[in-house]
Amino acid sequence: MTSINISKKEIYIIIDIVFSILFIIIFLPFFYNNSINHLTNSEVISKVIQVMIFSIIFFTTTYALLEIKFKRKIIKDERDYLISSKTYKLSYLIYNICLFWIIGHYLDGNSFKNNGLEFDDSIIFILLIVITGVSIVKSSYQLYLYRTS
Amino acid sequence: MKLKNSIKEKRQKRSLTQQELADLVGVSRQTIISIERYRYKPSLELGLKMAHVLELDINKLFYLDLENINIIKPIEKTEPTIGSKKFQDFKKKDWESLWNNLKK
Repeated sequence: MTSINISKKEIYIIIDIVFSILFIIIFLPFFYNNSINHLTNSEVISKVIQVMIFSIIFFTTTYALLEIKFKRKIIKDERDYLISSKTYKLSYLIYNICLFWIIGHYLDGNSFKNNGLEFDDSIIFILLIVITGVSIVKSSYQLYLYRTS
Repeated sequence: MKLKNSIKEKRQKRSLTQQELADLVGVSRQTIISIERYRYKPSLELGLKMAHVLELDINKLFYLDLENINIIKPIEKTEPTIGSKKFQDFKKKDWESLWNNLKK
Protein backbone atom coordinates (compact mmCIF):
# COMPACT_ATOMS: atom_id res chain seq x y z
CA MET A 1 0.00 0.00 0.00
CA THR A 2 1.43 3.39 -0.96
CA SER A 3 1.09 6.30 1.45
CA ILE A 4 0.16 9.79 0.25
CA ASN A 5 3.02 12.20 0.75
CA ILE A 6 1.54 15.47 1.99
CA SER A 7 3.62 18.57 2.62
CA LYS A 8 3.23 21.05 5.47
CA LYS A 9 1.76 23.67 3.13
CA GLU A 10 -0.91 21.23 1.96
CA ILE A 11 -1.83 20.40 5.56
CA TYR A 12 -2.25 24.14 6.26
CA ILE A 13 -4.70 24.30 3.35
CA ILE A 14 -6.59 21.22 4.58
CA ILE A 15 -6.86 22.85 8.05
CA ASP A 16 -8.45 25.91 6.40
CA ILE A 17 -10.97 23.71 4.55
CA VAL A 18 -11.80 21.78 7.75
CA PHE A 19 -12.32 25.04 9.65
CA SER A 20 -14.70 26.35 6.99
CA ILE A 21 -16.70 23.10 7.01
CA LEU A 22 -16.88 23.08 10.82
CA PHE A 23 -17.98 26.71 10.79
CA ILE A 24 -20.78 25.86 8.36
CA ILE A 25 -21.91 22.89 10.46
CA ILE A 26 -21.68 24.53 13.91
CA PHE A 27 -22.44 28.23 13.45
CA LEU A 28 -24.33 28.80 10.24
CA PRO A 29 -27.62 27.25 11.48
CA PHE A 30 -27.71 29.96 14.15
CA PHE A 31 -27.31 32.76 11.61
CA TYR A 32 -29.92 31.12 9.38
CA ASN A 33 -32.26 31.07 12.37
CA ASN A 34 -31.41 34.73 13.01
CA SER A 35 -32.34 35.64 9.43
CA ILE A 36 -35.85 34.23 9.97
CA ASN A 37 -36.65 34.89 13.63
CA HIS A 38 -34.74 38.16 14.09
CA LEU A 39 -32.86 37.33 17.26
CA THR A 40 -31.77 39.99 19.73
CA ASN A 41 -28.48 41.82 19.50
CA SER A 42 -27.10 40.25 22.68
CA GLU A 43 -27.72 36.75 21.25
CA VAL A 44 -25.88 37.64 18.05
CA ILE A 45 -22.98 39.24 19.93
CA SER A 46 -22.59 36.20 22.19
CA LYS A 47 -22.52 33.98 19.08
CA VAL A 48 -19.86 36.14 17.46
CA ILE A 49 -17.75 35.83 20.63
CA GLN A 50 -18.23 32.05 20.49
CA VAL A 51 -17.03 32.04 16.86
CA MET A 52 -13.94 34.04 17.80
CA ILE A 53 -13.06 31.76 20.73
CA PHE A 54 -13.65 28.66 18.60
CA SER A 55 -11.39 29.99 15.82
CA ILE A 56 -8.58 30.90 18.23
CA ILE A 57 -8.68 27.48 19.94
CA PHE A 58 -8.95 25.60 16.62
CA PHE A 59 -6.08 27.36 14.89
CA THR A 60 -3.71 27.45 17.87
CA THR A 61 -4.12 23.72 18.55
CA THR A 62 -3.89 22.61 14.91
CA TYR A 63 -0.94 24.88 14.10
CA ALA A 64 0.85 23.84 17.30
CA LEU A 65 0.37 20.16 16.45
CA LEU A 66 1.60 20.82 12.93
CA GLU A 67 4.71 22.61 14.17
CA ILE A 68 5.46 19.68 16.49
CA LYS A 69 5.01 17.15 13.66
CA PHE A 70 6.87 19.14 10.97
CA LYS A 71 9.80 20.97 12.49
CA ARG A 72 11.16 22.24 9.17
CA LYS A 73 10.24 25.85 8.40
CA ILE A 74 8.09 26.58 5.35
CA ILE A 75 10.01 28.17 2.48
CA LYS A 76 7.90 30.40 0.25
CA ASP A 77 9.18 30.44 -3.30
CA GLU A 78 8.06 31.56 -6.77
CA ARG A 79 5.77 28.53 -7.24
CA ASP A 80 3.85 29.46 -4.08
CA TYR A 81 3.37 33.01 -5.32
CA LEU A 82 2.17 31.72 -8.70
CA ILE A 83 -0.36 29.37 -7.09
CA SER A 84 -1.50 32.09 -4.67
CA SER A 85 -2.06 34.55 -7.50
CA LYS A 86 -4.10 31.97 -9.45
CA THR A 87 -6.28 31.09 -6.46
CA TYR A 88 -6.81 34.70 -5.40
CA LYS A 89 -7.80 35.56 -8.97
CA LEU A 90 -10.45 32.83 -8.89
CA SER A 91 -11.76 33.83 -5.46
CA TYR A 92 -11.87 37.51 -6.51
CA LEU A 93 -13.97 36.53 -9.53
CA ILE A 94 -16.38 34.49 -7.38
CA TYR A 95 -16.63 37.31 -4.81
CA ASN A 96 -17.51 39.76 -7.57
CA ILE A 97 -20.21 37.50 -8.98
CA CYS A 98 -21.66 36.86 -5.52
CA LEU A 99 -21.66 40.54 -4.58
CA PHE A 100 -23.44 41.48 -7.78
CA TRP A 101 -25.94 38.70 -7.11
CA ILE A 102 -26.53 39.99 -3.55
CA ILE A 103 -26.95 43.58 -4.77
CA GLY A 104 -29.36 42.37 -7.45
CA HIS A 105 -31.24 40.31 -4.87
CA TYR A 106 -31.73 43.33 -2.60
CA LEU A 107 -32.58 45.75 -5.38
CA ASP A 108 -35.05 43.30 -6.86
CA GLY A 109 -36.80 42.61 -3.52
CA ASN A 110 -38.81 45.02 -1.42
CA SER A 111 -35.78 46.35 0.39
CA PHE A 112 -36.38 49.99 -0.42
CA LYS A 113 -38.08 51.18 2.74
CA ASN A 114 -38.51 54.70 4.06
CA ASN A 115 -36.76 56.19 1.01
CA GLY A 116 -33.64 54.19 1.65
CA LEU A 117 -32.05 50.81 1.24
CA GLU A 118 -32.66 48.76 4.36
CA PHE A 119 -31.03 45.41 4.80
CA ASP A 120 -32.75 42.78 6.90
CA ASP A 121 -30.94 40.26 9.10
CA SER A 122 -30.58 37.74 6.27
CA ILE A 123 -27.67 39.79 4.88
CA ILE A 124 -25.40 38.44 7.66
CA PHE A 125 -26.30 34.86 6.78
CA ILE A 126 -25.85 35.43 3.03
CA LEU A 127 -22.47 37.13 3.51
CA LEU A 128 -21.24 34.35 5.79
CA ILE A 129 -22.32 31.75 3.23
CA VAL A 130 -20.43 33.63 0.51
CA ILE A 131 -17.28 34.05 2.63
CA THR A 132 -17.12 30.41 3.73
CA GLY A 133 -18.10 29.11 0.29
CA VAL A 134 -15.42 31.16 -1.47
CA SER A 135 -12.89 30.14 1.18
CA ILE A 136 -13.61 26.45 0.57
CA VAL A 137 -13.43 26.84 -3.22
CA LYS A 138 -10.20 28.84 -2.99
CA SER A 139 -8.51 26.37 -0.63
CA SER A 140 -9.64 23.37 -2.68
CA TYR A 141 -8.30 24.93 -5.88
CA GLN A 142 -5.05 25.78 -4.10
CA LEU A 143 -4.71 22.19 -2.91
CA TYR A 144 -5.45 20.92 -6.42
CA LEU A 145 -2.73 23.19 -7.87
CA TYR A 146 -0.22 22.09 -5.25
CA ARG A 147 -0.89 18.45 -6.11
CA THR A 148 -0.91 18.83 -9.90
CA SER A 149 1.32 21.77 -10.90
CA MET B 1 6.67 22.65 -27.63
CA LYS B 2 7.69 21.60 -24.17
CA LEU B 3 10.44 22.83 -21.91
CA LYS B 4 12.33 19.82 -20.62
CA ASN B 5 15.26 19.48 -18.28
CA SER B 6 17.87 17.05 -17.11
CA ILE B 7 17.91 18.18 -13.48
CA LYS B 8 17.10 14.76 -12.03
CA GLU B 9 19.92 13.08 -13.94
CA LYS B 10 22.48 15.80 -13.16
CA ARG B 11 21.40 15.99 -9.52
CA GLN B 12 21.78 12.23 -9.09
CA LYS B 13 25.17 12.39 -10.79
CA ARG B 14 26.31 14.85 -8.14
CA SER B 15 24.64 12.64 -5.47
CA LEU B 16 22.40 15.43 -4.24
CA THR B 17 18.94 14.79 -2.80
CA GLN B 18 15.93 16.87 -3.83
CA GLN B 19 15.92 18.53 -0.42
CA GLU B 20 19.63 19.39 -0.64
CA LEU B 21 19.23 20.95 -4.07
CA ALA B 22 16.15 22.83 -2.85
CA ASP B 23 18.08 24.22 0.11
CA LEU B 24 20.97 25.25 -2.14
CA VAL B 25 18.77 27.23 -4.53
CA GLY B 26 16.37 28.48 -1.83
CA VAL B 27 13.11 26.80 -2.82
CA SER B 28 10.94 24.05 -1.36
CA ARG B 29 11.40 20.34 -2.15
CA GLN B 30 7.96 20.31 -3.81
CA THR B 31 9.15 22.91 -6.32
CA ILE B 32 12.12 20.71 -7.27
CA ILE B 33 9.78 17.71 -7.65
CA SER B 34 7.44 19.74 -9.90
CA ILE B 35 10.32 20.96 -12.07
CA GLU B 36 11.77 17.46 -12.45
CA ARG B 37 8.36 16.16 -13.52
CA TYR B 38 7.99 19.04 -16.07
CA ARG B 39 4.90 20.29 -14.24
CA TYR B 40 6.34 23.66 -13.36
CA LYS B 41 8.49 25.90 -15.52
CA PRO B 42 10.96 27.74 -13.29
CA SER B 43 11.85 31.39 -13.74
CA LEU B 44 15.07 32.31 -15.50
CA GLU B 45 16.58 33.33 -12.17
CA LEU B 46 15.84 29.95 -10.59
CA GLY B 47 17.07 28.14 -13.72
CA LEU B 48 20.36 30.04 -13.60
CA LYS B 49 20.72 29.33 -9.88
CA MET B 50 20.24 25.60 -10.52
CA ALA B 51 22.75 25.66 -13.36
CA HIS B 52 25.23 27.45 -11.08
CA VAL B 53 24.74 24.96 -8.24
CA LEU B 54 25.07 21.97 -10.58
CA GLU B 55 28.03 23.67 -12.33
CA LEU B 56 26.50 23.36 -15.76
CA ASP B 57 25.59 25.55 -18.65
CA ILE B 58 21.89 26.43 -18.56
CA ASN B 59 21.48 25.10 -22.13
CA LYS B 60 22.54 21.66 -20.92
CA LEU B 61 20.10 21.76 -18.02
CA PHE B 62 17.04 23.07 -19.86
CA TYR B 63 16.13 22.35 -23.47
CA LEU B 64 13.14 22.41 -25.78
CA ASP B 65 11.44 19.24 -26.90
CA LEU B 66 11.85 19.72 -30.65
CA GLU B 67 9.69 16.76 -31.73
CA ASN B 68 6.44 18.67 -31.89
CA ILE B 69 7.82 22.09 -32.57
CA ASN B 70 6.56 24.16 -35.49
CA ILE B 71 9.34 26.49 -36.47
CA ILE B 72 8.21 29.33 -38.68
CA LYS B 73 10.86 29.71 -41.36
CA PRO B 74 11.76 33.22 -42.47
CA ILE B 75 10.48 34.16 -45.92
CA GLU B 76 13.22 33.73 -48.51
CA LYS B 77 13.84 36.75 -50.66
CA THR B 78 13.53 35.88 -54.36
CA GLU B 79 14.14 38.06 -57.33
CA PRO B 80 10.96 39.21 -59.04
CA THR B 81 10.12 37.20 -62.15
CA ILE B 82 7.96 38.25 -65.05
CA GLY B 83 4.98 36.00 -65.39
CA SER B 84 4.44 32.69 -63.71
CA LYS B 85 6.94 29.82 -63.74
CA LYS B 86 4.59 27.64 -65.76
CA PHE B 87 4.36 30.25 -68.50
CA GLN B 88 8.15 30.55 -68.59
CA ASP B 89 8.54 26.78 -68.93
CA PHE B 90 5.96 26.76 -71.70
CA LYS B 91 7.89 29.40 -73.54
CA LYS B 92 11.17 27.54 -73.35
CA LYS B 93 10.07 24.03 -74.15
CA ASP B 94 6.91 24.19 -76.17
CA TRP B 95 6.97 27.21 -78.41
CA GLU B 96 8.98 25.36 -81.07
CA SER B 97 6.79 22.29 -81.04
CA LEU B 98 3.70 24.48 -81.18
CA TRP B 99 5.12 26.38 -84.12
CA ASN B 100 5.96 23.11 -85.90
CA ASN B 101 2.47 21.83 -85.33
CA LEU B 102 1.00 25.00 -86.73
CA LYS B 103 3.24 24.73 -89.80
CA LYS B 104 1.90 21.24 -90.48
